[in-house]
Amino acid sequence: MTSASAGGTPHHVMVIDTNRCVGCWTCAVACKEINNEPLGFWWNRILTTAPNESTTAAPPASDNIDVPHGVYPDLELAYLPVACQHCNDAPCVKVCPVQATFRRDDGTVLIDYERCIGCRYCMAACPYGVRIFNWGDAEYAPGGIVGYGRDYRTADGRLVFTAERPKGVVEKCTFCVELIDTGQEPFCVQTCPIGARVFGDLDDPGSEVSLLVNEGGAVQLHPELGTDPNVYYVPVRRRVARET
Amino acid sequence: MAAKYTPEYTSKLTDVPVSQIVALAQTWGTVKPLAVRVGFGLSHWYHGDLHMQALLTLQAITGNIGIHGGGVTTFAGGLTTTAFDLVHWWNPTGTPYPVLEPMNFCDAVLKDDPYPVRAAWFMIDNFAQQMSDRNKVVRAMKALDFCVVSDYVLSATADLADVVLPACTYLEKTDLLSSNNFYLQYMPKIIDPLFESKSDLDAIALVAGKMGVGKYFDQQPDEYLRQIMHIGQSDADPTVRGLTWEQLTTEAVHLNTDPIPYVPFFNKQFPTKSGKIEFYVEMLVPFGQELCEHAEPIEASPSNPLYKKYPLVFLSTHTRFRTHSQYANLPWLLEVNNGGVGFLEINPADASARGIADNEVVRVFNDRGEMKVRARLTQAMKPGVVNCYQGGWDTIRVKHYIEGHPNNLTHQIAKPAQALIPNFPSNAAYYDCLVQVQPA
Repeated sequence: MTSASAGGTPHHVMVIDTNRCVGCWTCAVACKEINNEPLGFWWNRILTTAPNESTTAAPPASDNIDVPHGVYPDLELAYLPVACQHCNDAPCVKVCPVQATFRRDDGTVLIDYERCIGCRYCMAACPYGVRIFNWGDAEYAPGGIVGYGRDYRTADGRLVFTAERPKGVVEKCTFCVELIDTGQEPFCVQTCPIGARVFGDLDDPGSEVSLLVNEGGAVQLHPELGTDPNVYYVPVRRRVARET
Repeated sequence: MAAKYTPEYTSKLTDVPVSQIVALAQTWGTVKPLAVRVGFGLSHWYHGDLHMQALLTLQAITGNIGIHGGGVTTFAGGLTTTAFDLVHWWNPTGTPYPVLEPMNFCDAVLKDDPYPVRAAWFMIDNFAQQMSDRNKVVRAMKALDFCVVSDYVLSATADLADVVLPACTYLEKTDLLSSNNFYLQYMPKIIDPLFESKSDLDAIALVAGKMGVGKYFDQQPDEYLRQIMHIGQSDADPTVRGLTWEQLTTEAVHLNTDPIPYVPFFNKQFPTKSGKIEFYVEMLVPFGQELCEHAEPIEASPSNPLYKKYPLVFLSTHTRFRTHSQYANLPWLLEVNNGGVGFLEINPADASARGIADNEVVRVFNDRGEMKVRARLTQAMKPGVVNCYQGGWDTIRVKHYIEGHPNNLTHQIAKPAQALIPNFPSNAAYYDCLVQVQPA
């Protein structure tokens, strides 16, 4: 649950436990639903990787999902759900020429759809590849709008969610801004069937995310780039000794 | 038996290292309670009954039957069958009607064995896509004089129908959900049937009326549900005794189970002749199966001479991006699932031995049939085993495999011992199957 520490603005982070993620894609489909994402668009994708206790990611063994590393029977497989990392020092925010993309006080990085001019500098700058561009008119399935379905504006009036994004703007994960602002959790957190996702306030020392980040060994993706994401991952720890 | 199945011998049979067998045995013998959850894949073999028999025997030997946290169940569990008085629901006149099981359908149509079948009405089913030995199934369906299929998609079975009746989804009709846990969930109709679709019950009732037996189908689903569970009556099954209609339609109802939490066989009374768990099963003596022992797969065994011609075990497992052949047409799930393009998972060593590169089209074949599909090289497959996810479509309009379907390769070899179970001639042993693969 989100909670403001001592009444102030919370510092929102998400922690994903890759020990639990089984690559079911429920969170990805749920995200697509709540946000009415067009055909071909996935704000949240599940990468197939290998357990790696120091950096949580290894190059994939194949272009196809579900292909493990190693040689049978000594195999290694892990899954890495990736969406916007909501960086505290976000390259996308720095390069946006019209300040359409911005970091909110709580750490959420958002796009103002009324300001975005579609230059896509942000997509060039983002090292995580989590932004998508509306090249043409969106196509949807099923026929009508699904999910949250209505406009949402921040307190200062910026349009940070609309059910049908117009041609020519970039879109990405919003930490479900319209949900977290009303005390709910992001939809991926709500729908993960295995409890792999946790969302909360890093400034609250008693929150589950604080425990995972400060003591549970949760790490960021590509920390060497200095983006300081608000999405953390608990690396795969448990290894079963394989005997020959 | 312990003398025969040493860890070393078992390791030879299973390819599992001795140390792991010993470690598993030690865990199984000392951890208590220990529960076993079985996926259905274990029953997709000719000797699937032996697999379950072995698990039940092992749990009995280790004292894990009839204790909380023990037992053997399929992943879904199962308890609700006693709540429903199906005998009267299915058989209002008391006249015994024959039940033709899926395994017997083709021979009934093609050979009048066990009796002639000339017409069929398929519903809640995709027989022509999901039943094993698809070429035989299609031959049988084409031999029918008259075939009706109810469905809400144009499935492979619907393709072969003389008449297709548009069916309702579960949202368009009232029913009861009791999917093998302790809860009953009333499922009211949420929307009226779309277009010209009708619920299966309505369709049956209309036909029954024209056939002169409409009086057995003249009530609405709610009334049938009351009857099936004897709601409000003192002779309701103990699991639903005292249940009111109000409760049933406003909450997810937990069955009356005693004790709570329910522990199957807590009183150590078993529905066997002796009333005890039987390790030695008298009625299996004619089948040489009175004691549960290992038996080689009927087809997919290295000791089968056929193995020289078809040296790859062919699995057709269940992808998480469909429910068998359902939801196979949903655009979002197709996007996640390789764009809806089926593939054959094959170990890189087996592939390179055959000159097959990643993503190359291959032909998978045996004496029963063949299919063409792209190869996906992956170390996840044990050398000697290949897998093509079942549930994809091979219909007039939709082809998830380049040509053919995994069930063109599978068979309907029935295991006689399994016929001891009433109305169950045999499971379909989808995985007990050999093929060869070559570049197409």
